[in-house]
Amino acid sequence: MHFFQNDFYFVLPELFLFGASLSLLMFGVIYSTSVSHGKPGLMKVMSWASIVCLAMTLGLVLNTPVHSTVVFSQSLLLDDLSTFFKFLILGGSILSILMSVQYFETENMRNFEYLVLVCLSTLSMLLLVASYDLISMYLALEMQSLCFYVLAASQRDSEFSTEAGLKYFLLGAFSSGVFLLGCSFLYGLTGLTNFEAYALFFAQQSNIYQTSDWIFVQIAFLFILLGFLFKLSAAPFHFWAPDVYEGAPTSVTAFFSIVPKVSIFGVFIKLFFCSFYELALLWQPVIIASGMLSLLVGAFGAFAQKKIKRLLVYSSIGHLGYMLLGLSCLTIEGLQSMLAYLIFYIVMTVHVFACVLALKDLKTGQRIRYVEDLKYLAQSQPLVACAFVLNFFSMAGIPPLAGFCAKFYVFFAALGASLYFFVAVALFSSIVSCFYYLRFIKFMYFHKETSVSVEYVQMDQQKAWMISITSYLLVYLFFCPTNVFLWSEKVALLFLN
Amino acid sequence: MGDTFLFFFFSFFVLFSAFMVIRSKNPVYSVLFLILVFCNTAGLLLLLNLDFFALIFLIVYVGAIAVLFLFVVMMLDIKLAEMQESIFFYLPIGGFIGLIFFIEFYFLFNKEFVPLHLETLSTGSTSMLTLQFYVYAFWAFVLYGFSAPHFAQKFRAYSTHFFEQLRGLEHQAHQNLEYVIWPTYVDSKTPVEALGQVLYTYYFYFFLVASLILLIAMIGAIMLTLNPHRAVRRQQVFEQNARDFAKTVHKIRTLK
Repeated sequence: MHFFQNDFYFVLPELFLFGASLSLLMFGVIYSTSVSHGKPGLMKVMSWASIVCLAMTLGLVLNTPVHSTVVFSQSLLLDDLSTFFKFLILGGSILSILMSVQYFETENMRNFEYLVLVCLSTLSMLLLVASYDLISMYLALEMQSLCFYVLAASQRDSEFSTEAGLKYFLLGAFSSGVFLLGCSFLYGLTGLTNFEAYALFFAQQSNIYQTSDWIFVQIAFLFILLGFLFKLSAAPFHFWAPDVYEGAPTSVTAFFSIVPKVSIFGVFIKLFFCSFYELALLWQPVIIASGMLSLLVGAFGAFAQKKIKRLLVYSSIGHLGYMLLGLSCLTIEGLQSMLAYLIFYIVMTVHVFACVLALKDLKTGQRIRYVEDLKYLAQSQPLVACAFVLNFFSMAGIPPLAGFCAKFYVFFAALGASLYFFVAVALFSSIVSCFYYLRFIKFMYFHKETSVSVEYVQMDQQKAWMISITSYLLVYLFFCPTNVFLWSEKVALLFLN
Repeated sequence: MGDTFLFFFFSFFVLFSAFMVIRSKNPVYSVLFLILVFCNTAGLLLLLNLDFFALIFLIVYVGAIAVLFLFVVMMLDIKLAEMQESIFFYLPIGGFIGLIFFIEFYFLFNKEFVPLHLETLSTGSTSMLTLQFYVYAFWAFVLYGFSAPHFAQKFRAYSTHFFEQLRGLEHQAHQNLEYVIWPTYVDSKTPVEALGQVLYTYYFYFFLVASLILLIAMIGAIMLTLNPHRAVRRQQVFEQNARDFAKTVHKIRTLK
């Protein structure tokens, strides 16, 4: 009896990461408590080890022979689409660890479990984008969230971190519950949990609008969408995000802003574009409303913020609005533009967090926290200031940079789908958000000259490379976005199958 | 008869402990009685062949909720005197809700159960019949009381019918030795077995991911609480237990 003999070959990357995380855990447990080694801190070793593990998983994912198959009695779907998202997730995780190696040292973090949890949450996200069943999706989602709650609270000597963890836990558990309620409504109505089965079911039930069950279908979709939008921190459900992202250690904030967006969007697209596409008119308005609110919240919420991390959270909520705009087109072009936006967003976020993590005052040992702290940056570190400017121009969508390309393409697709009002709102909020991106630049370059000079801790090599490569990409992707667009189009076209 | 005995045993203890939950003076005892209620209810569920539900009931209610209650009660330090004031204070509203509950059951039994029993009595095995009879008799006693003429009539009809059926079954069994009880030939699985057969084969993936979630919960709990690098003030359990409350606060000297 070899039920799943071949299935295990197909999930080799996930299995590898699973084994590697457990080995990392064992390694950490044994060595961090060994007296003969003097109870070492292990953070540096562990971070490099986990980077190697994730990189090897990435290699396995990219060289997978599978193009489309369903494994584990229809629990997971492994296809090129999930490979695309897995690539983004693994890349994002590797970069977010790489940029915080120095941070672990300077902040004197000694809990090696942090890196095990990063690896395990990456594993859960790989499973999440591959899931093909409501149950496997929920389990992967829960696994991911559980890792995140702990990561958010991982800096135990800071009250903000504890607050962030607790807040995230309570609200996340609530939203998981709501999401699960929606799923059970759907299961109660149809008796199905499989994504493909849903697609077939809703394709056949063309008169479901007239049945008495329609109200329950509406409720189920509302709850499921609410759960997803909450996890994405899209606008009406964004209240937890600023507190959590600000309170958590900056390395965790970087990880939160870069990676989970990909995984949640991956499974969201899969569920709604593959299974529930027949009911698109039901869920499109919700996405449009949430997208518009996200844009406005992202634009106006950032005005009052003085702290850099909070401001970046609001900016990411705004970016989320653009991605939802791309999604709500319901067309291949819209999807493609959204995926391209996701890639540009990752590049920009990696860039900005690498910069933020690099800045630490040499004398006082303080990290920069407020926007005003950037006052002396242009004098003491002109190159980093320059990189900052480049990135904020890109985020604002000023032409010769990648951000413009991304926004332009989303607007183009949305106009093609006749979402004129949404596009008008997006344009408006884009103009408004320019203001606070420019405020950064004003602080860096146009403040009144003072004699005070601040010296910053020297940046380590990894971050220097990362910032320079992403800066290069920000310019390069404006002139040659072909690769990104071709790639995202290939992925978007996979939905046709 | 074993089933019947167990049914009465469990139901008696459910009622008894439920009563003790609200009547015991010490809140810790209340919670312990609550746990006893849950355990006995799990026993009742087992009698109905709902073994999975019984186990889940134990795990969720006793393992999680009741223990949580216990923690809260122990932490809050509720004074015993406060509890004794209001024995009849909540009686009006509690009685009203109880009345609604009993009215619901009255309608349920009056409408659904009685005719159903009388018609379907002929099927089913002897022990189930007896069990059904006792369940009915018990509820009938609770709901109608034996004095009501309406019930007395119904009950008489029911019991004569029941014993006739029982005698008939036994008679049949003795006369005709090739009597076959078909239900015993049906290959049935208990719910736990049935769940296990799919959970460990087709859907082992879910089981595996659930175990990973538990692992993460464990890592997280250890990471957030254990701190080997700093001097932590540990709890001296023995000293704490040996401490006398009356002697904790001393009066050292009197001011002039």
